[in-house]
Amino acid sequence: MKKNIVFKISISIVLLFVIIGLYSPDLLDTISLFLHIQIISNFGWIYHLAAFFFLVFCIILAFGRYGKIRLGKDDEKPQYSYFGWFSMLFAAGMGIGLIFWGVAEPLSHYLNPPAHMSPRSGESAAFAMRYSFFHWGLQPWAVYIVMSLALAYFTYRRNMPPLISSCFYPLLGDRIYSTPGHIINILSVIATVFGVATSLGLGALQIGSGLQLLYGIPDSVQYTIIIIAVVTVLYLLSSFIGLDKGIQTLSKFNMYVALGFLVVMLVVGPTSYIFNVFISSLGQYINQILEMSLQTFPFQGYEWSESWTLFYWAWWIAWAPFVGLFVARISRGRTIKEFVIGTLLAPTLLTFLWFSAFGGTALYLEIQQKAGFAEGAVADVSTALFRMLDYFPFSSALSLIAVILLLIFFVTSADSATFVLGMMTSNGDLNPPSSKKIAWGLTQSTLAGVLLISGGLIALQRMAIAAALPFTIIMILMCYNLMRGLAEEDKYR
Amino acid sequence: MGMECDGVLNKILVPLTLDNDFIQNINNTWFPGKLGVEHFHLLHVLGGGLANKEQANRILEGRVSLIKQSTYSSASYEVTEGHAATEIVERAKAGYFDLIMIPANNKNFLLRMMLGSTTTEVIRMTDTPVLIYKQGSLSLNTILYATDFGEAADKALNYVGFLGKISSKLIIQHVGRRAADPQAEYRREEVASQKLEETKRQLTPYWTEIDMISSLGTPSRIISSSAKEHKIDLLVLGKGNTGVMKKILGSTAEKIANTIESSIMIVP
Repeated sequence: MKKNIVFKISISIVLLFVIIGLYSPDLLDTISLFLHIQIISNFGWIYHLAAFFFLVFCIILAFGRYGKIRLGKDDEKPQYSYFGWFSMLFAAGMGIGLIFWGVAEPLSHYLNPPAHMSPRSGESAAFAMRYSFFHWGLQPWAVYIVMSLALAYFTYRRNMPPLISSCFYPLLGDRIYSTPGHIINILSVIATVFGVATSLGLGALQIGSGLQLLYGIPDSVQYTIIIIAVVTVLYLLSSFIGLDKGIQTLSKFNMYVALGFLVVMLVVGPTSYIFNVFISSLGQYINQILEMSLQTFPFQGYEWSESWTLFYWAWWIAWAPFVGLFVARISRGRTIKEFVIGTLLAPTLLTFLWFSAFGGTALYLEIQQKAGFAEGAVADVSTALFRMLDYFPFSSALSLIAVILLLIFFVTSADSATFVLGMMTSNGDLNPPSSKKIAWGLTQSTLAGVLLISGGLIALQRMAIAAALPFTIIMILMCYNLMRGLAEEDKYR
Repeated sequence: MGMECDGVLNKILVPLTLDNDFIQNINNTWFPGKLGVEHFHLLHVLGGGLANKEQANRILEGRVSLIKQSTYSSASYEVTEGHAATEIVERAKAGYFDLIMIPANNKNFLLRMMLGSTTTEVIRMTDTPVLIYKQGSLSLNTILYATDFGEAADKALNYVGFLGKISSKLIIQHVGRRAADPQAEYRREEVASQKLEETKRQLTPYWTEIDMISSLGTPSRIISSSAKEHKIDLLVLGKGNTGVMKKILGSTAEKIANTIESSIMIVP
């Protein structure tokens, strides 16, 4: 029992949620809504402060005296090329979400800014782009970096198992192998399953919307379940091929497709407008990052901050165990400085360009061309990208590319998650047994499918956000443990 | 070994509140005779306001006579005005005192709080060793020496050797911080054990019985708990004020001073 205790307990908890979601979605909804409201209203500021703290922590680490320490032995070389590394970072951390929100988020902020700002104004458009940058910029990556850096350090430099509990050795000692360590690992597994299942559900919905627009396939639950089933088969196959061949090949391919899609958008879209949006929003972002990092709009409309910024921070934190473990796995051999700068800047800049191209184009159509599609797009965010692509030549081909991108991001995210879940529930085995990968692959797909049928997907998303609160504390403690480890680099080694 | 264990506590500064009965009971303590103190200098710092300097002079004069009658030591007194801790620290420095001895009687909560804050300030500010003598402590059988093997702890080593002449049992305790991984932790334990043995070897000529304890955790908490568990009479430790966190939160010595029930000697 003890050997598989994390696996058994966490899969039991997840299956319990499947059962509740299937037979009593209202109960799940009530519990999750209560937790969500309580946590976001009372502890939302903790997410805000923690996300900013993580960013400052990363910058200090990169440029401080520990920057030269290698995440591995002193003579180790990075395992992956920069392109392979960036591709996998991007695919695991942002991929599917960017396709989903690239158009929808700027349009949402443009139409529904905080209470003190006029909707559909120039001010709200600038605000929309700035805050889209903010929500997908440095802070999310700082959250991932804290998790992955601590994991990579304790795993590859301190020779400990690649488990989140390993980062707590300085504080807990051998108790990381008993109940306190198991609790940390179980919480990580549950946050990962909830987070990934939600994303898979939402991703499947968007693929369904795309297929409906492209081929008239009805956007029904049955078809969405079929999409989940097909993708499950694909990612289980990819998972069996292994990290180096499976995920890396798919991530690289997807990166090429994503970059191609971006270039096409830059060419066929309002190019000059897009670059103006990019540099203006980048300037505003740089200029106002401190203010935005600590701004919760307590006097002008806290609700907006609650439903967007705090949601995102909690969401990134909920995703951190999964992305962190994966990013740690692919970053072995890099120095702390190289790791932080690379992870912080490269995906962020690409994300900004993505938002400028897709969000900027959507705003261009809405503001300059008076296209009038924004309200429909915001009302059903899964259709936002496809509605925008409708205004361009070869829109069917572009939508098809978007669907393919979604599918591959879907596969790579789920594949990485299956790998990470297998690792976390096999005492940190870097080559987790196939049986566990299948178990987790099927579990997260079943969870996504079941909750999609019962309408409990949003409830699950709320649960993931609730799980982020204890995880925020865990991550702050990880910073402490990491500093303890780094401070003792030259001692007892 | 280079330890100078003779005559390290010749001249002692004793800050006193006027209601403190330490001097009246001086013959019932382990302190003056056994330590071979040659001279006591009593100091009372008036806080201003309604304080009566003449009354203070009269009381301290009586205390000085008592010391002369009760011990072989000489004694003097002084009454000053100002911030208590600053006055104590400056007087100790200017007079080249070997020790500041603060008699602590836990009579009431308010007094304890006021005394506590002055004591903490003195510990933080002074470069002179401080002995907080918990009144009622009649014997000096067991001493706990807490060491982090650092510079400050090394300075305290001389005093520990000296105390071996008047006490019988010494416990040397090291409280370490867990290393970052199991292998490093194993090496840390080895190093701690070697250093404890080395310290024991240095102190063996002065003590009849020496025990060693190696622990993990927060030093202030672990040392306080050991002191209680082993019913020690005196805790000796060095004080280092390096590091940002220690500057903000106070040294281990400062944290322990007001919580521990036994007497405590802090060597800066």
